[in-house]
Amino acid sequence: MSEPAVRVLVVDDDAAIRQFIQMALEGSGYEVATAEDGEAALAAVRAAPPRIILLDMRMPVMDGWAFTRAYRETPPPHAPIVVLTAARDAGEYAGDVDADAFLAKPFNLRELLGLVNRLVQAGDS
Amino acid sequence: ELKTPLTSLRGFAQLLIMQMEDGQAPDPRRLAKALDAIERQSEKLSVLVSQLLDVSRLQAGRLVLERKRTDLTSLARHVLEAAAPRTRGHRLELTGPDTVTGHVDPIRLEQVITNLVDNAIKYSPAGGPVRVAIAPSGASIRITVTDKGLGIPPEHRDRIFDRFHQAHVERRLGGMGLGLYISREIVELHGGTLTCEESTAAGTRMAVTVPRRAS
Repeated sequence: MSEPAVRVLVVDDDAAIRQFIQMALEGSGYEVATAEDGEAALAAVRAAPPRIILLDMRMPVMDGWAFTRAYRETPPPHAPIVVLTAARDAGEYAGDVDADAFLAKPFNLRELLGLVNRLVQAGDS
Repeated sequence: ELKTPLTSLRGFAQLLIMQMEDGQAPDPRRLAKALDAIERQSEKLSVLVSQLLDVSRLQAGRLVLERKRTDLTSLARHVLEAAAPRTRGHRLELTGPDTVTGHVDPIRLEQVITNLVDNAIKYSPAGGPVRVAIAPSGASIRITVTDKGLGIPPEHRDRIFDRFHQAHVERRLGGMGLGLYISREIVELHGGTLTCEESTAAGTRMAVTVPRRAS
């Protein structure tokens, strides 16, 4: 019996960014859900809890900071969050929300995939 | 704003490289999708870079006009023809005499009219008419661009010509908010004015006035 695919939630207000990340993750065997802002992301986590969340910070309607606050108030478990941001202070933003990791845009796609793989494995052990 | 198109530009390219490293040719549909995205993001970046260069030149006082005898009606027609593929349910109209001549910088004024037409299209998401009207007005030429779109919210009206200002950010319409700043600077270098004459929830009218000749 095969295991169900691991679900990753990709949150970013840019459609092209959501698209290539989705294509890359699906190519690596992950199941991908996407959301264009924090509000849509909250609806997505309620509908289907993800294993990992890739989170853009600066989004309209509800940004990454507001999403993280609201997400952490939902019942556990909470998926690890990887901050993806174009800001110079990517590390600072990640610190703001106590993220598990961060990558500054434009990032190396291989690095992103490696990070997701490692976080999934770390969670499994 | 620059890093966003760069991110997906790089992302799609890396995606294709990774797929090809597997030793197989990538699925033709995915390849087409990725290359199309690369093309679109490159174009976006190109526009943004040009705008930043213009702002840089303007701030250094280095944006120089090259005036030539120009038929503004013909210029406006060219702008509308080029804009047609970017429309969705929009009706582009041009009114005025067959020929209106002025001694202006045609490339820079084309840039201004394009900016105003693009804004009219962008801020009329439901389609509708976008009308460019050109008319002589004494020693000046008056150009208006009118749409029946969203209008500019009152709290933004004073700031639309500011650098990096964007109204309707929640609609994710893209751009850096530099177009109107650059357009106004170009018009003022011509000795003219660019104003928002009217804007309500029923639409907007932007008006350019340029002297027919340099004074």
